[in-house]
Amino acid sequence: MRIAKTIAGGLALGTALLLVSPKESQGFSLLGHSLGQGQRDFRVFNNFDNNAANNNQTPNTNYPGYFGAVMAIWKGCVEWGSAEHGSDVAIGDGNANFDPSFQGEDNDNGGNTGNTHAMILSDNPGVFAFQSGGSNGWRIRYHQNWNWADGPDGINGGQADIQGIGCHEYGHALGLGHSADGAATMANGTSVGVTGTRSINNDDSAGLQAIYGAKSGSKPEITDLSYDMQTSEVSITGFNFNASGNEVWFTQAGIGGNGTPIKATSVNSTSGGTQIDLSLPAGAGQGDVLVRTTSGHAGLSNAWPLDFDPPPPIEVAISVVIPSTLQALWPTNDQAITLIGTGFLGTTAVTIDSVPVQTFPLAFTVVSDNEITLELPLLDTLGLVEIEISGSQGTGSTFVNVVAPPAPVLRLGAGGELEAMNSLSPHVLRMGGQPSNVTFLWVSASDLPTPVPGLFDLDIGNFATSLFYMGAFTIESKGWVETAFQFNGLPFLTNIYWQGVEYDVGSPTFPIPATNVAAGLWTF
Amino acid sequence: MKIRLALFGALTLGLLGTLGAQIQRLDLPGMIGDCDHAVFAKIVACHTEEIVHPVEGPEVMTTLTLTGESLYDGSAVTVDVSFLGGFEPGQVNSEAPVADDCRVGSQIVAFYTWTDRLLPDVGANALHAAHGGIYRTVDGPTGTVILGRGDGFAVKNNVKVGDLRKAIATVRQAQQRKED
Repeated sequence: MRIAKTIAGGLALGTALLLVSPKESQGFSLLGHSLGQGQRDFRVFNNFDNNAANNNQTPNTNYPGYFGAVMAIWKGCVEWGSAEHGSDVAIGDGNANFDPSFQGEDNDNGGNTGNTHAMILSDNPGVFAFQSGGSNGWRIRYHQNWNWADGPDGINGGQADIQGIGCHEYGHALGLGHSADGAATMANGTSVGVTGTRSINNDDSAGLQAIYGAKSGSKPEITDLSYDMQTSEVSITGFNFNASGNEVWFTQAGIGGNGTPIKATSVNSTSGGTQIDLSLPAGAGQGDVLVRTTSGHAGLSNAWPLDFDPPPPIEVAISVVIPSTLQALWPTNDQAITLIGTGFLGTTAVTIDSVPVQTFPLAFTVVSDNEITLELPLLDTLGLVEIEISGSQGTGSTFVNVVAPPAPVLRLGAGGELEAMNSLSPHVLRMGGQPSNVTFLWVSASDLPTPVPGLFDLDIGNFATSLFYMGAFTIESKGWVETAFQFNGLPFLTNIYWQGVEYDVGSPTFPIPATNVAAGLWTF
Repeated sequence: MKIRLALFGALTLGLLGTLGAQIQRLDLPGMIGDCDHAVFAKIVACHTEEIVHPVEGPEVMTTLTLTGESLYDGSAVTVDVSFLGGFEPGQVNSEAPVADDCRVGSQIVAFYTWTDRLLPDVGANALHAAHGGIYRTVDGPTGTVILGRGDGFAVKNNVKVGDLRKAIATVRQAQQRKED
């Protein structure tokens, strides 16, 4: 009796399961919702904060205008599309009445129903990402604890694949649950280093078709698209366009918005519903174009990339200077700065306030198309200094702010840890500080201190028993002043220590602040 | 008896397969190597709350209070284990266990790991791999059986609690030897 009741109960459960579970030969499962045309948009809030998530900066004409994590997620979503995405034959395997509409970047995470992909500031062990929401909007979040990678090709063994995991999560957004087919994109789990989920398999597309129907013969389809930069005319080729009353959807230009596509409405077609020509509407940017003929799932075409062709010339532009504020004098050496921007490859010259930097040996390094490093030489002015780069791709410039050293500085020669000194030539000393202040300079063979209570404290001089006053020097308007000394007759390998104090003539403070100690080694 | 258990196990396997998110594929050694602890315990409380963060906005988190024994050393354990998501409409997210996994009074096996940031300002013992870290049990005539969930899960096949305890011990010993 007990067994019979249990089997009957089990059969009842099994029946219920059969209503939602796939057929024995299929693995997919359904979540019970679908996305209407009003929810086909998707955006990316690119807050991924590890380098590998946004290091793919190679333009791709099938994903124009976007790079890194945004491009990867774009690919992951349009993989569910009904046809190939432009000339990217690897993307667009859904073969169903379903196509998403890429709407660029969001300027925040979009909340719960903004249809936005974003990283979440959460470390969740064993969980890569999640999706929530449904027919009225959704969100996808990627946990921050993974080393996210944007590809575009392979990824390292310890990296989590944005494109593949994004493709899986978007599968949930459009209504698919997990698949019992371990090879499906919608299989329950994945691993770091894996990119296989980028491409949906037959089980995934079967699930998609179970929700949206297999691709209809009457579904509009785009087979080609061109854009004339001069006239702003878009020319769309395909089939199954309405003679009149088409809507053409574009990706929004810029960042933000609400995800609603930029739409041209009441658009006619020609050549028997195979050609649409229209002007690019205001607010439309590079991205995807879709044609809508009716309101049902089968009434929206595949997405086709719109690239502003010919590609605009690579602009040489410096966007960031690190650091952007520099001291006029640094105790050890010339200051290294890093320029970040675009179009740096081919740079042949760098000028600072129109003066070329040293070319032999080269004082600047073109690290990449996006980075240049250079050592800033001593300058004759405070304030904004223009740095200009020029080369085969053009010219770009920026400014750095040179300020007087906030604390007194002393540099001996090139600023090495122990400057070699000899009797052959004078040795240059530079003192940096606030213009018009006076630096009193001493030299000693001892690095034992000489405190003068209430006045100043030196780190050299051995209580003034080995301390020689070398003069007073007024800091010039450029934030530093230079002098030179020549010695002879000192014993071989004598250590020589220099130090000064900077006296503020206008508002004196006590004890008078001291410079760093500059050390030299006498040789001959 | 055998038929009943197998049927129930297969049915439960089907149920558990319908929801989830992209979690990490882990077998038992993988799970034991990554997580902090595993327990066989009763769910004595289940609490869902919404936590609002100034940047992330509102997020829902569910905490299960578990009382039972450690599968590592048999000691008594009472612990709060949390995951993101809840069960009401609007709270469900694809990584959360289903409501049936979290019924108060159920005996379950849970794998969990401390994280300082399950949410931006919230530290918790997180259910490791979310829904992949919790396993239902049924009482059989020969003992309590943990229901396996197939390939890619820490408990792949149905297994008795005692056998899982031994398997965990074997895995931990092997991992310890490797570290030494």
